[in-house]
Amino acid sequence: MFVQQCLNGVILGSIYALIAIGYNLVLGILNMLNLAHGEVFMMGAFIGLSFALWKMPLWAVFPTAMLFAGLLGILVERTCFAPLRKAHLLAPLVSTIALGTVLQNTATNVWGSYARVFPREYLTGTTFNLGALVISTTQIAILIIALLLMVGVHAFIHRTKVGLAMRAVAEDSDNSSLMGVNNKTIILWTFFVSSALAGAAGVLVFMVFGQLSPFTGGKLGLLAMVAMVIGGMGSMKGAMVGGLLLGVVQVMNSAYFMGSMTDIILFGVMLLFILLKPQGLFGN
Amino acid sequence: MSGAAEKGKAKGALLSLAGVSRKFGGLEAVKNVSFEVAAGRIHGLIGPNGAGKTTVFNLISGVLPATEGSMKFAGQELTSLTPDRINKLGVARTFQNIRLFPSMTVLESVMVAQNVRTSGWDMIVPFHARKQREMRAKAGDLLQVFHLWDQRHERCSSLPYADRRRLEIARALATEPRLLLLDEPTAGMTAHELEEFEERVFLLGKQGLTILLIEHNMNIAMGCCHRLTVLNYGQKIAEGTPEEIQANPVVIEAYLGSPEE
Amino acid sequence: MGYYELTILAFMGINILLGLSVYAILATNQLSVGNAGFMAIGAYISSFLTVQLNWPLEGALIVGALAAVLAGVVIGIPSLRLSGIYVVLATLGFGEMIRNFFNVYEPLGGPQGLRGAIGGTVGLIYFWVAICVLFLWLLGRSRLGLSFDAVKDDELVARTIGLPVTKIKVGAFMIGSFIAGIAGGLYAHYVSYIEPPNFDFVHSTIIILFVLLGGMETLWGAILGAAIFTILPELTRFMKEWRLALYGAILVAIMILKPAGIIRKGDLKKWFRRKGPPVRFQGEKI
Repeated sequence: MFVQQCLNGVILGSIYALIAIGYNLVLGILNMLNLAHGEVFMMGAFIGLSFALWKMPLWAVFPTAMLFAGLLGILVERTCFAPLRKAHLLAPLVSTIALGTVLQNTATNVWGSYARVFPREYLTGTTFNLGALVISTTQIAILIIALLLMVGVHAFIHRTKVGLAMRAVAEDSDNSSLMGVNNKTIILWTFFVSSALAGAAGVLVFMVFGQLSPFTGGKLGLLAMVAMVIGGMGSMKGAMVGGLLLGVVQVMNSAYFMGSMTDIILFGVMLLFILLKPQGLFGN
Repeated sequence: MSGAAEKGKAKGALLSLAGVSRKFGGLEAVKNVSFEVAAGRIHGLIGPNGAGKTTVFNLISGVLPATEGSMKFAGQELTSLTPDRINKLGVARTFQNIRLFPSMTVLESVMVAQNVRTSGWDMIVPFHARKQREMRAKAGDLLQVFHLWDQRHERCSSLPYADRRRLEIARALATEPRLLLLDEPTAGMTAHELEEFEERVFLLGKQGLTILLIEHNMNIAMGCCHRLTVLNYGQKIAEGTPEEIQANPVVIEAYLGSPEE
Repeated sequence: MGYYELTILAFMGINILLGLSVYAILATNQLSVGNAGFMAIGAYISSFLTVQLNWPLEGALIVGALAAVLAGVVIGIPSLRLSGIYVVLATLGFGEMIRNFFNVYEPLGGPQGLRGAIGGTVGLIYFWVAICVLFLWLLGRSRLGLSFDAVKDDELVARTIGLPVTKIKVGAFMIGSFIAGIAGGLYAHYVSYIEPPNFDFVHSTIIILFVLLGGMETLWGAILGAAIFTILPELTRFMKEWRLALYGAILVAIMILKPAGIIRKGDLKKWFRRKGPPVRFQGEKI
């Protein structure tokens, strides 16, 4: 039973990790928090839902949702960050809050404020018994997809030209433009990748829970910030570890301790980190 | 200046740095710097670009913590004090790239700098009418002296360059310091403005203010300062009177030829 | 005036107070995304005092607000050493914690909410609005207000001219949390029923939205934003479903076009063409 919960925690955690990586990518490159990210994640989930309801096969739903989410991310950059480069430091933050509200309200109007159910057909599969552990094909798929995405992002950042440029800009914005790196394009790429990841996480979340409401989606996006803080702001490794920790703690707490207190504990931990160890586990 | 500055005219070093260092990761921006500034004197801190002069200012004013060493002002240890505490003790400074308050007017900038010498309740409700009048008069005087009286209701952001420089110095003086740190105050000044500046510095010195001056303009540095400390690559390479420094081969070499005009 | 109009007026007053609470903190360059949490504390504590302990309303309101201040200080002090992002995260986390706490704390209703707090009137609401506006207005004109401005403009330089920046920032937090706490107490005693969802992150962000819309640089901007926000949905009834999206979109547009909001710092002086020196100097010519 315990191991079962661990598995659930890891699965949920890997989703948080994907979202947290997105937060960190933007943080690393612009030193700013994209507070619309959680809602982009939520939109990715529901866009995926719509395509699934339109009978698109699951293997196509993912890239579609990721594409749409990525485009939303670019929208965020174009409206909340690019035009506000010279404005007050807090201005983009506020803009992303506003845009997030737009996304949330739109989703509630389009898809309803109650929980929507993901098509059952996509979620049925065989289950396997590994000793005390029961695992379904869906869960395996989630883990594999999440893992692939994390590996993919890591490779993208460390191996491709664009990825290296992203790191260059993150490290030293002034010099990177001297080295011929086009900052504007890199920033757009960063937002696209970060949001595409969130979009994938959104579809995964539907697969994990089977159902979701826009409001809950937004809340999960918020919780992913806890993972970001715990893992360390700006750190990819931190996002992954933080996400996994968050997922495990959340599931464990709901299963064994005071389930209703879960959110208090999670945000309380985030506050503790901010107060005592603001750099998180792996941040600077 | 205030009576506090008069007291400072007594013998002894007002400011003394001993073995002060500041590391940024692997880089030692300031290494083992020691020197003293006597009360009532005008002391110059010179050296080529990047020698660490502004870093020394940042250390003294508490903006950056020193990684090693001790800094004493009027007997008080400055290391690990916050910048506002240090200013309260009597150390004021300007910034190399002039940092004014963009949303405030000239007069407001000077008045807010007076707040450090204002007692608690006066800050919220003007109780002591006489004290208020005194402070307003002082602010007015300061602006008159620095030729900023006519611009007193202008926003800082709309001031021309020379006015901005003067305002920053006026603002620093409004905190009634005993020691004034000036970071390249003459950058971009015309010949006439330079003359005025020298006069003003002499006047302030006569009134008992101690000044530590970072300067690139050698005429000003040699002309105004009683004593000079020379830094290069974060370390002190020479110290002495202007005549001694001008003749010092190590200094000349550090500047590699003739210094900037 | 009909019941409907009175209710709008009441909510506008509450929103004004909430806007002022965010403004007070924003005046020192800190973005607090958790004022709904302070509001919740004020609402629940004051309700508990009047309903369970039969306290008089005024006393309960103040104690509730003071409890909010306590929370504000606890959050404020450590966050202040860190950059603005951390203040946002800390207030966000705090707001969520508070809401969840009241959601699980059965003695104060838990998810069922708390009923029975009565006595709030439109008059009382606007009494407090008047007090808070007066206080913030006086503060803005005082020497202390100048210090706030300096901290907002350039924290580092403010320190080098002797301003106790940390104390000022904590002070701003205390003022903001107090006002939000009062707003919570007034709200609870007007609607007589409060439940945790009333105080969630969405509400915190809505306050930010309308303060920024009205103009973040003056307290009048916060008031204007609150007024617009309260009245607008009533005028565009058919868009009520989309009002948050509309609002958010307008704000995004405004941030691009006029980042400081509708009312900027010098605007009121310009619009009313004040003769002579700014009144900040106690009316005397200088």
